[in-house]
Amino acid sequence: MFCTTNSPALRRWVRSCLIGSALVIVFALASAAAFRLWHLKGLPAYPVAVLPTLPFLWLLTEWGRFLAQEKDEFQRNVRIQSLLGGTGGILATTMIWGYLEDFAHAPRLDPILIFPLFVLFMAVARLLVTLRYR
Amino acid sequence: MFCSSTSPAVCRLTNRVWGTVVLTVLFAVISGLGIRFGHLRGIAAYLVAVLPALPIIAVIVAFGIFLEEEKDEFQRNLLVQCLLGGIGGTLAATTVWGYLEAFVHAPHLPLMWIYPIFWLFVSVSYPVVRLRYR
Repeated sequence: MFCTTNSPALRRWVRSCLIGSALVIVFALASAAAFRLWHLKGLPAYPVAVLPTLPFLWLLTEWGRFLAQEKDEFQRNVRIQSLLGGTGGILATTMIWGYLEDFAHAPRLDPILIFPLFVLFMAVARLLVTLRYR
Repeated sequence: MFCSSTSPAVCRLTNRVWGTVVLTVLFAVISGLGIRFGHLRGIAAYLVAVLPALPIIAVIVAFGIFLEEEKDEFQRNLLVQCLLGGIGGTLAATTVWGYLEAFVHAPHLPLMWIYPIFWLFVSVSYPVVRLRYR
């Protein structure tokens, strides 16, 4: 529906992304509503808090599956390089921010933001890798 | 010096990593002393706080250079899979912890821990990836 590519692996990945994103929103709203309405505490609070992370974890496994199934060597290589670029970017950022938090009392960075930041770095890396192969 | 591998790329990586380990310790001590005794504030504190992160970023760059330099396709592929396993595990762990912080007030995860957590997942991935190629 949203994907015009010929690659079945990419089509499946795009579909998973769309479903995963929708589930994250639904589960996050459900969790927030449960905490607001029932004032959950102790052990029952933990599974409800973790609920919105399940689509993320599913997306991570789908990601691995997509990389394994992608037949186009070049495209897979570009994606892997982008992932590694994203990894380097997020590790450098968290390290710098960690020292700033510790030594210079910089404001806390919410760990929830690490995943989106990683995706941002990956997108920048993707752009650079694509430019390299122009 | 510290390398028994026959691959020149591995030896260069090992030497670079050892160099950065020494620099990290040195810079962390300098930063700690600077913040403690220099009573630094503002921009100066931020600059000194970032100092120990620089050699750690150099390790990330060293791994990038190694991936470019390594001639053995299989070894390179093995490392790439371990690094991807590492970032997958790290993203999963930080996302789960982030939601636990947000909803059940779990203690704040210091961002400095993300780098060691990443390498922990990389080392867990290594035997799994190797088993796959047995």
